[in-house]
Amino acid sequence: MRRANGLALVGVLLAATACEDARLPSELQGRVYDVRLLAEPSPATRIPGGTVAVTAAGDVVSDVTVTAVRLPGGPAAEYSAYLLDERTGNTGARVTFAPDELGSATVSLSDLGEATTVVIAAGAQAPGALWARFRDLSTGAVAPSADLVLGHFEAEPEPFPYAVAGAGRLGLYERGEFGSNDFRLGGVIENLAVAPPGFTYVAWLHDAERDVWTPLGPLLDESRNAATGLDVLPPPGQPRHLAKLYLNVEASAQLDFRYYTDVRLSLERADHTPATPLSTVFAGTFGAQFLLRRPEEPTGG
Amino acid sequence: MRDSRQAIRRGGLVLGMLLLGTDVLSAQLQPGEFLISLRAERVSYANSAALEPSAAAGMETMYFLTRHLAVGIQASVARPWTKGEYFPLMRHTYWTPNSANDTTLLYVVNQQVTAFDYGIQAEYRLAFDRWEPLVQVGAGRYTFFVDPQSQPQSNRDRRTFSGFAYSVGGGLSFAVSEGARVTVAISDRVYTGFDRDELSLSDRLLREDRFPNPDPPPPPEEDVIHNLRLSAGFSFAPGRGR
Repeated sequence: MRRANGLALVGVLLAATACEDARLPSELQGRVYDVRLLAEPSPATRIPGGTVAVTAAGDVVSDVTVTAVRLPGGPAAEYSAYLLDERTGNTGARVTFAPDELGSATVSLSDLGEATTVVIAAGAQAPGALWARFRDLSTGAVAPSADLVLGHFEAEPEPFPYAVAGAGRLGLYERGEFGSNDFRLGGVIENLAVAPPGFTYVAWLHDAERDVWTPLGPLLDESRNAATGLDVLPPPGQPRHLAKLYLNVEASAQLDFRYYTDVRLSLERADHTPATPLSTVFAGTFGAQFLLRRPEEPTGG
Repeated sequence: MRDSRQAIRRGGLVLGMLLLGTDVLSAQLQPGEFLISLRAERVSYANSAALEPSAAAGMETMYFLTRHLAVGIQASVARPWTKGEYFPLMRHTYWTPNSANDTTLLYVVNQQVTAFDYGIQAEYRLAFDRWEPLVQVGAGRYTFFVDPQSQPQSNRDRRTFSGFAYSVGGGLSFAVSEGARVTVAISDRVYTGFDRDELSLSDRLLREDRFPNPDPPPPPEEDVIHNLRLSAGFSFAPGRGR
């Protein structure tokens, strides 16, 4: 009888341990509405730039008038401009100025007759982020005008112009049941060009129907922390583009992605994010599958 | 009152016999005897291991050097499922020729692996009437056989991974007859050099990198994991009466 009891106990334990939860090799975790983030058309016309007009008597420059456009930050952002002789390293005095709401500014400089270049910096003492060379360094001849170039003026071995580059794979991830509207906007942006000194990238949600812009905050690094130093140019010989950057934004009562039509990326001052971007350099339009989810009368966002 | 006096006397007798190394019952195993055990087990892997708890089956053979001390070998096999949610999600994108479809489905993928745990062990066993408390220590190896059909294309050659293991545990045995016992035991199976990424099925070509999975992240990886094994088994001593 005791033996039978023992064997029965073993049998019960065997049966109990054999009971396993059924598990599938793969389980659907939700769907992503894909968004490709690509450079805007004609990106060179969307970044800060402008022209300079030079008045000279012979080889002596008497006046340089800088007309800058698309400078981010508006009246709250301070810029500085100065003349430079790249052959000797002599510089004129820095003149500070602020662009208007549309990013335009005009500055006149006249304190360095042998100047070869005008330089603009994003800040009173920041490194050069725009420049225009109006004198031939070998012949000394002065051109009456020149275009402003955006980039790292003080890069080695020579100034490094900025060019819009990179792409992103974004998505609106709907977890759980179809129709739950439990969305998260996320994605990875690769090979972005290093921002000019004093600048950074800012992501925006945009509704083209209502022309509403909502900033999404800074881009994130691989640890999903706010990425900093997007304007730090690697030394010569190393790839001069940024490591992978990420977006990760949860929907909330104040932020319903269904009321938006696209994601944009703009180049902004690192110390100042405006309410709306002057111009954007990357765009990712939400696909038809997602736009079909838009409510009849958007009220949120 | 008489009962408690009898119990005290009986306990003292058992203790005295233990100290003198004298048999309490003829069921107690003698030097030179073997005890073979078959076990049903439940293994709860460390939380960081990315393995679901699993049923297992085990066997051990112990040789008694003295009435209390035995050495032997043990082996057990389990079939746990991996926790796919510890690894990146896998994506399945539908594309039409005009790229009109813009939806990707995300999956968590799991596999059922075969886990072997084997080695030598030593046991110290006392005897109180039919009850025999015991402690065990062991050392050996663990080997995981992954599901060859589930492996990602980028890692098709992966088949097994293994490492050094040791254990410590204890239990209670009940002699149902002179040669047969039932035993329940609990032990900590410690696996060293454990790399849970070996269990991942995330093909690097198909893994979803836009959305971290899971969120918040899983427990950090551990090189040494502690796994709890509960077992119940039937033992018999060959050559003894049942």
